[in-house]
Amino acid sequence: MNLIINGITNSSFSEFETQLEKMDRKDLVYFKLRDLQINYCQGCWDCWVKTPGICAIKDDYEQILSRIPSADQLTIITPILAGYESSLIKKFKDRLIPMIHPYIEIYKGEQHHRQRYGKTPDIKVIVLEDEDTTDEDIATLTELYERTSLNLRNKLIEVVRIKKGAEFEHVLTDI
Amino acid sequence: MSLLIFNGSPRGEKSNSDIIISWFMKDITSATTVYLKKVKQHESIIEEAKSFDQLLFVFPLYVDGMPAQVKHFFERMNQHKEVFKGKEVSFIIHSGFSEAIHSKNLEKYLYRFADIMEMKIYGVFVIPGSEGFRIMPPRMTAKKAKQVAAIGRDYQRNIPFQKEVKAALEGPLVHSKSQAAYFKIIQKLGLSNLYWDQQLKKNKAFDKRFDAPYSE
Repeated sequence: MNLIINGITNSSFSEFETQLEKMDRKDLVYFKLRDLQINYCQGCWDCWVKTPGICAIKDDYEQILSRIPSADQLTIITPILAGYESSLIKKFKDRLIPMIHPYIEIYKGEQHHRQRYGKTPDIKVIVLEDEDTTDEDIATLTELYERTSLNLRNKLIEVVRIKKGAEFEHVLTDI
Repeated sequence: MSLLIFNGSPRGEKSNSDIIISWFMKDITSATTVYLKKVKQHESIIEEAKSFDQLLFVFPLYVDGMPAQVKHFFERMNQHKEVFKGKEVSFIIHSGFSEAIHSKNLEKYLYRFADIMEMKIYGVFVIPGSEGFRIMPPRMTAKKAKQVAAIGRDYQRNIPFQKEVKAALEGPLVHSKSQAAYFKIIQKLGLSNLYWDQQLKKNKAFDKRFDAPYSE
């Protein structure tokens, strides 16, 4: 199963979204974050110390979270806003912490959290660039996801760039 | 100079960010603090920012970056560039990890963000090991409090920060092999998790600590 997380914040990429939503493949499970009721992580840590693995906030997020341990791939779709991934995607990521455990271990020579689940899906990132996006922005974003993969002990498959106005059909075929 | 401080913690008033801000303000004559946890207030905060010429953001590291509420505010700022252009900005990132490496990618981005916003960046300060600042006895945090106060003083006087103070706050990028080995022993003895175990026990959740409710 491939979980597609659409973190586009408005209708600026409507052509891309139309094509994306037309895809009819049984292995895809699609979530459009801006159409879901998802609150921000409030840092209460109930998911670590009160109800281990379960978030205290009851909203649409659980539909996504509950599918993550059994997914093979997590596909993050984000526009570049102010040189970084969207706040919608960041909100999705902040609420991933029920996936990890408060205990700290040494992993690859650094401190990392113990994992709550045996496996987590590998990550693919599809980046929708704006006119001002630089190669350095993409390098920073790639490094960010390398860090996230290290924390979740999975693999970063790749970061795919779609430049403003460029063809994207092949990206959807390879999703 | 008039200073506006943004507390970017999702916990708001009861946060380690708030403690760090109180350290920063020790020798500062006046500053205004606003909270970013409520995104509905972001537009009015941008309005308020107009009358300040120095900004400071303080927030915890959340999943390798800034809390999403802070990113939401950055996106609003980006839509009001004219308000922020030419202002001076500084950032303090704190995290529960005791190594600085976890915050380095975000540090890099914050320089880029200031560049996009055409703001003058004063510095990005990384403070590892922040979990529990709020509950630690003051003598345990006295050294860090003093270092943060020194940065605050220099910032308001508009003189460059002392590089050795920034480096001392930040500590090592990663621990040395011997430190990592020491941590492994502490971990085996179950001593590295005392804080968490105490919390889990208090909530009667200790036996459920390894629960994986969404397993296949």
